[in-house]
Amino acid sequence: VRRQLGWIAIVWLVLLCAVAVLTYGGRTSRQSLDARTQAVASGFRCLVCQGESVAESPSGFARNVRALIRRQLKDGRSPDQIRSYLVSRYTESILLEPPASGLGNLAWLAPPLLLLGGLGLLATLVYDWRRRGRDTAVSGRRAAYLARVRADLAAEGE
Amino acid sequence: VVLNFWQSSCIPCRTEHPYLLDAFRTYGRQVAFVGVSYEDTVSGARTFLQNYGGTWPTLRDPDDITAINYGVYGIPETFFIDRSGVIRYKSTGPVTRRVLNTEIQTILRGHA
Repeated sequence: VRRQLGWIAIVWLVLLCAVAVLTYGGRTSRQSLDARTQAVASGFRCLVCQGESVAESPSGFARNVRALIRRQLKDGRSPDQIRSYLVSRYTESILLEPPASGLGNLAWLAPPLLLLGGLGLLATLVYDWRRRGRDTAVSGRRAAYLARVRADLAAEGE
Repeated sequence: VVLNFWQSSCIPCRTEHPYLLDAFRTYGRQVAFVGVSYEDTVSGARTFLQNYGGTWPTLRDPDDITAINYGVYGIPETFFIDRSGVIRYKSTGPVTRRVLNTEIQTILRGHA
């Protein structure tokens, strides 16, 4: 039963990954200009607002940055080019997500590292429990009995 | 160049305006003053300049292209640009008499 549960867990994880890839990996340029503008705009902080992205805010600043993103996308610029342009104008404070460099790395690396650490701890604990379980199983009278069986078998073999 | 982003309905822009007028009177022949009307109506900007003065060129900035290019996000903002086109100082919020004098003199002296 335990082995079956393990398989179910693995299948479940694979399914989750597949759904994630299909959802986030399949974004192609086929999307409409509006959708792409909105997607790029959601990565920028509206600098004159409180905790709003450029995609959501009704402010003039956000509206104009959206218009700029739209124009640049239309001119064939990639989201990365637009990102580096806006960062060069407004510094990294315009990014909603921390940059993957310098101190920003910490924010990205910490969660997977913590997860790995947790899994490692769990694995060690499970290993430890199982070993201890085995040890107690062959202790005491049972161990003595096993020893006798082995001795008898050995004697029979001679 | 003294490049000033402003809007007729913005109170701090009204605060800083007399200092800009003074600086223009003092340095207007040596330094180019340029105003950029930020998200404003033409009539609003005209009325402001008629009421408070200011004879330097004021430009419209459709879609905020210039403002975004200068990283402007709140007005007023004032940029001091030297002869080689390098921004030497950026003032956010109402610019003061002291900043105007110091920064204009710095760009006039040239940067050693």
